[in-house]
Amino acid sequence: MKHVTGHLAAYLGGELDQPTRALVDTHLAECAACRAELASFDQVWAMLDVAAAAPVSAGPGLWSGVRSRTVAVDPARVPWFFGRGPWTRRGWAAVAVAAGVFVALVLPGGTGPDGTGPTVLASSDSAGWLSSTWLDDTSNPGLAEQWMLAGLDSDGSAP
Amino acid sequence: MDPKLDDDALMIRTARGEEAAFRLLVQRWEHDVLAFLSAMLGSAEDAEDLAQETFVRIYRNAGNYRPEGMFRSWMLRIAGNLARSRLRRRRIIGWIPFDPTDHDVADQGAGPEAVLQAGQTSDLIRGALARLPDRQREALVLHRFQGMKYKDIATTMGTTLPGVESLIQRALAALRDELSRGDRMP
Ligand SMILES: [Zn+2]
Repeated sequence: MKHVTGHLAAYLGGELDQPTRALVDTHLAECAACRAELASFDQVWAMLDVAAAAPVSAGPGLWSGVRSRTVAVDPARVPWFFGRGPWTRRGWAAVAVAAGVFVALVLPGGTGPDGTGPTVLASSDSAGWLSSTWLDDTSNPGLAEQWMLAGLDSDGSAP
Repeated sequence: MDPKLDDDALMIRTARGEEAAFRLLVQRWEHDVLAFLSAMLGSAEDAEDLAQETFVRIYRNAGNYRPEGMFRSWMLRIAGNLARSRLRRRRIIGWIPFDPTDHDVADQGAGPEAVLQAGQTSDLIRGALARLPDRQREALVLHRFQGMKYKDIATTMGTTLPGVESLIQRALAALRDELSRGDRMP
C-alpha cells in the first residue's frame, strides 16, 4: 500500500485534480497512519489561518514614502514615448525602428551573453515573460536589459 | 480616477505618469504586499521598508509592464525577490529574523482571551515560518496568506506545479515537526 503523505498539503488546499483526490480519499479510508498525518497537518493549517487573519496595517507613511521617491521627484523616469500629444505617434514610430534595429543586432544568437538576456523582449507567452529571469534578483542581465530596466538593480538593493 | 479601473488600466496610466492612478494602485495592494512581506520577514519595519521599495520598482518599471492581467503575480514576484535578497543579507550579518511583538493582533473584534490566544498562535506560527527555507516559506505564504492557487504560485515563483506542491508539502511537514517538538500544537 503506497501512502499518500506527499499529497496531503495539496489535499487540504483543494489543489488535487479529481482522480488524485479520489485516490487519496480511498487510501485515507483504509490507512490509519495517513489519517493521523492528515490530522496533524490540519492542525497546522488551522494555525496558519489564525496567523493569516492577524491584521497587518500600512502606516500612514507608506504612500508618502513611495510618492517622495517616484512621482514627486522622478517624472523623467517615465518613458518619453508614453507621453501625450503630437510626440506620441512619432515616439512609437521611433521605438519601432529602434526595436527593429535591436532585434536585428541582438537576436540572431537567440539570447544575450548570459543566455537569459534580450529573448525576454521577443517572448510572447505571458507566463514565459513573467517567469523569465529579468526580475530575478539572482539574474545577471545583459547590457540591453539593463538599459531597458534602468532602476531595477540586480541585487535587490535600493539604487 | 475611477476606482473600478482594473490593475492593467491603472498601470498604463501610471506609465504615463498619472499620479492618481499610481496612488490607487498602491492603496489597492499595499495590504497584500505588507502581509506577504511581513510573513516572509517576520518584521513589520522591514516589511514596510520593502513594501515601499516594491512600489517604487513597480513605478519605475511601469513602462515595461505587459498588461496581460497578471499584475498581482508580477508585483508579488518583485516583493518576493526583494524579501529573499533581504533575508540573504540578514544571514550574512547573523540577524535573528523574528520579532513576536512586531505585528498587531490587538484589534480582532474578539474578547481579550481570544485575542491573546490568537496572538500566541500567530507568534508561534510566524516564529516557525521564519525558520523555514526561503522558498518553502514563500510558497506557503503565497498559498495560505495570499490565497494564491498553486498555478499562480508557480508563475510568480518561476517554478512548476509539482515544484510548488513539493515546496508546500515540505513546508507544512517542517512546521508540524517544529511545532509538535515543543508540544505547542493545540
Ligand atoms: Zn497511508
